[in-house]
Amino acid sequence: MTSHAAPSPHQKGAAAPPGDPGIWMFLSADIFMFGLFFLIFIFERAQAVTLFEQSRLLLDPWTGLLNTFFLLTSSWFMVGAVEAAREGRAGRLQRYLVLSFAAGSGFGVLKMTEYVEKIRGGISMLTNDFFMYYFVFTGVHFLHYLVGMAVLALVFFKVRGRPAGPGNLIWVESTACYWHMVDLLWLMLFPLLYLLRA
Amino acid sequence: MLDEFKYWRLCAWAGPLFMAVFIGFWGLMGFNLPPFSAALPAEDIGHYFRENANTVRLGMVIAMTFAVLYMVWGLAIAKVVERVEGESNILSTLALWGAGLTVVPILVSCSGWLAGAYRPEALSDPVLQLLYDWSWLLIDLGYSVTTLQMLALGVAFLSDKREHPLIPRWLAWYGIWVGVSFAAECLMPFFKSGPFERAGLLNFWIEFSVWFVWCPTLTFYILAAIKRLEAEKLERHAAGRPPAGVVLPQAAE
Repeated sequence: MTSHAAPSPHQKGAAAPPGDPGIWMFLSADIFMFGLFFLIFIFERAQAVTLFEQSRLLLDPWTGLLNTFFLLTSSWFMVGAVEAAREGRAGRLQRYLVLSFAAGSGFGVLKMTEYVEKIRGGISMLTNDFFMYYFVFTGVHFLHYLVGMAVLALVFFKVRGRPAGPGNLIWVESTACYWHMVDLLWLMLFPLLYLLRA
Repeated sequence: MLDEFKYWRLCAWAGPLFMAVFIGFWGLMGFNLPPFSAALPAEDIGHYFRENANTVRLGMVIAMTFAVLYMVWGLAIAKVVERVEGESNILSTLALWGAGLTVVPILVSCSGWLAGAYRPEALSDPVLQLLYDWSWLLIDLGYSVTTLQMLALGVAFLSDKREHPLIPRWLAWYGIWVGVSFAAECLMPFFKSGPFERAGLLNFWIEFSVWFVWCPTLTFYILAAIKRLEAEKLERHAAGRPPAGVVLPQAAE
């Protein structure tokens, strides 16, 4: 969105956050919203521990773990992309962006498979309270993931054929911050939904 | 004060006025702050319309009369956006259309509540419940027009090339976030209790609160931006442009 924006003057300060300084408002608001989701879940879970536990056992923790692996690997490549952008190495930056997108694709494929399997098995967000939260929370997270993948692709085409410079850096850094948030939220969702025992 | 900016300011104040009317007449007099839970039986909704018919009528009449102020407020913001985006006016146009169209679900849903309060003694409880449900479904699910305004504004403010942008970048991002978060309203028709129903923690309390914070905050910064634009214009003219002889720069440049 900041197509030609040079880095803001604020960014030059030693303590300035990476990326567009304003994006941190978006990230904070989003994390606040998910924080609220988690509190609602914990509260509701305490009212119906048995139901939540029985429903949780219908989820496959290995799928969740593999998804965690895909997201973390994708984020790790993104860190490489940020370093490459900072060093001004355009080719390396593009390679890391492709790797990050490829690793991220694994999450999408697996999550869709999981959704289809649940729905075919007759489980939807209207099945019970646990699955309402499961579908809504992972669904909202999945929308965040899709936006992140779209932005990753956008950044790749944006930096391709352009000399490395501050114009690229702010985009790459902002995308990385967002992508790490998608990780962070999943790192909360995964144990809460798949692992938390009664 | 330049005449041109006098009207901008007037339009900008339409936002807080709209909000005050909305809270007072649609919200409190219309018994919509918070709404009745979707789990409430039809008899209770029927009873509410019959007992409070005149209060609801007055609330909705005033809310409908002042609903257009949202578009007026949207125009003030769109004028500031025009100065940010320069020759291309696509974002300011989208934002203005978004604000203008936001008036539609507000007006139509208010007419639903008003229809319920018009002759509630002659209508059955399920019919009154239907009117109440339908009005809420419309006002919540009509979110996309407001989201359009918020996204267009966010993108425009983020593309501001000034060293000190007219609208702070954090507010641009906050508006984008609020607009996107409205998508949570899509969950509302599927639930009659819990956090995602119309009176739920997420779909009512959070979604309405984040908008209620956005509207006055943006108004504050829009008024400050108008002040800056006016000062800049006066400065340009004091420096001798356009040609000498023009005393007051009232016309658009």
